[in-house]
Amino acid sequence: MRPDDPTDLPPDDDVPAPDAAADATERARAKAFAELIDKVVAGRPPAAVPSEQQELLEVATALRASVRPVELGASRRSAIVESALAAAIDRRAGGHGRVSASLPVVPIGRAASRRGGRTPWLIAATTSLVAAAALTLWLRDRGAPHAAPPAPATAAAAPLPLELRSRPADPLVGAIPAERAGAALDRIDTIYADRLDGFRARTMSGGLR
Amino acid sequence: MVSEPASELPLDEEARLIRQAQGGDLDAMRPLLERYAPPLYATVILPRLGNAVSAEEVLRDTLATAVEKIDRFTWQGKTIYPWLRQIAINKIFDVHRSAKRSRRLADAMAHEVATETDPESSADAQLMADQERAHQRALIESTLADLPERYRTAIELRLIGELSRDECARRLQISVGAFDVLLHRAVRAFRKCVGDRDAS
Amino acid sequence: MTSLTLARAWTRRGRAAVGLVVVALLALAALAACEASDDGRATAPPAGRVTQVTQPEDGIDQPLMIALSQAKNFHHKAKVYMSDGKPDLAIAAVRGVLAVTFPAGAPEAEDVRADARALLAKLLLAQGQPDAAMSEIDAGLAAATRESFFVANLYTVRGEILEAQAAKLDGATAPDDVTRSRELKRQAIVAYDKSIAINEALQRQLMGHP
Repeated sequence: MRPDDPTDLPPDDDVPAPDAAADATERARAKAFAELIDKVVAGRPPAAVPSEQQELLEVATALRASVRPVELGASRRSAIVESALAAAIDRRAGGHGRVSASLPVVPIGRAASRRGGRTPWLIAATTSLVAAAALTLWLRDRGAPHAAPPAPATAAAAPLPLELRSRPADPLVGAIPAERAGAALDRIDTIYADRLDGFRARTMSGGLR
Repeated sequence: MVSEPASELPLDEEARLIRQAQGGDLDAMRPLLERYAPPLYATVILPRLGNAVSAEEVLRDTLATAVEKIDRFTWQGKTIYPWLRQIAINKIFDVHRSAKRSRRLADAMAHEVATETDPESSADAQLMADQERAHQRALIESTLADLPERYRTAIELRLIGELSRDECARRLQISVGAFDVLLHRAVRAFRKCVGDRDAS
Repeated sequence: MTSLTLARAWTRRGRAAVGLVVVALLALAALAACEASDDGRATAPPAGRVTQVTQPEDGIDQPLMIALSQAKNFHHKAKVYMSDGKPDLAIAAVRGVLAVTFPAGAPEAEDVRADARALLAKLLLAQGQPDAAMSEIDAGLAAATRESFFVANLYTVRGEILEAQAAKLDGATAPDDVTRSRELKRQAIVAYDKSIAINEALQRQLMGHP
């Protein structure tokens, strides 16, 4: 690759000397990192971290975890154990057992997993009811301002979890440093991989319409 | 120190619970999970991920996988902890791989901790956890020793000593902004050092 | 299609069931056709607002995955051309990203296109075409419906283009050139400041600060 190829990755960890002058970009990044460390030290790890800071924050947290006492509180421990047992039992029973630290345990696939084994009449009847309802609404509202289509009867009541939705890529990608302004290839790879996980999860849970 | 485990489990009790779980009563795993969750989290997962939220998710996933696949575990007269630990290590590598992030830290911290203990002893897990922590501490300290002094000082004051940014800046006789830059560079240098050591 | 396959396996009841399903599917198709011209996605927020999460029904679907896959392939193609010393073909490949059809209103579309425009601008600048590079930046900024890290990146590249143009006038003595150089540098700083401001605002929001 040519030295000035904008698609080249910058040298990793090209760390300046301690007393070297810092430019505005580095100062801004350092300040953002310092604020993340403030939260970690205060025992309030940030929920969302710009991806360019993520690995560095993990290094700092890992360093602290190795030399300072770390506690997993009793109530937290019990909650995690309970959740793990529920997930394992659910998986053993043929469910999906997906558990998230941040989302309530309402598997979106539960409705889908109960669908197996129904008669074709039931499927046909349900589909027809849905279609009839949609057709009625369409005929009634034709020409009126656009309204959202009715939710199919077989879909789960809960809205889709965030990770299964089309959404801005900012939290995934984080702030883009100047030296990575042209690294669109890396970012599309990251976005694609992330959305592919979501797509597969939706596919497996039967949530795709 | 790490918070006290839920309860100590004699080896024969551990064996009985595992047999019960393998017989279909998965809930029998509960005391084992309660016992081993804290050292897994504190000495295996969090130091390798450096992210408390991810660490809890990996811990949950590790325990769920262990329960789901308990049929594959063969009792060999020693605690189940090394098996749980290996599941956790695999999941940590999955996290790093899927995030396409550097695995330097995970690789550097993943050295197996060999234990030669009395198989009758129920302190295997605790001994492993203590040895794991001691190993990680030694790695950290030797890496810090290789850093330029100002970087080492910045890390020791802020990340280990937990002094405020203002206090750190005052002690080093620089502005807070300059200290932020120094700490940022120090952690980058630490990361590079860990990676270089692992590569060599 | 699953219901159709299962219905066929039950021959006596199957025919009636198939008929009912066909009617239902036709009705759904008619409804879908009417809605196809509408933007079923969440209305884009006004310009200047930071990251907006879509409505619950906007799940990741096949059309989105196909679009992302195509964009990915164009980018990889561009990289191969660059490493092969064929910048013109690389530029054409990145333009291919801009031609990919995304689902209407998908936030990823705006992000991927903005990123492609930033790369395109850098490639054009490297080929000695600063005006064409700036056109790409201007097009990317004009298409933005929200502030994002990708928009901030466009401003960063804008600053780089202006800085490069100013650098060409370094050492000039003609008064017009000196004035122009000064103005270009001022605009570059404005662009960089805008990038920093967007990044800081977004990071504050993502970290839960007001």
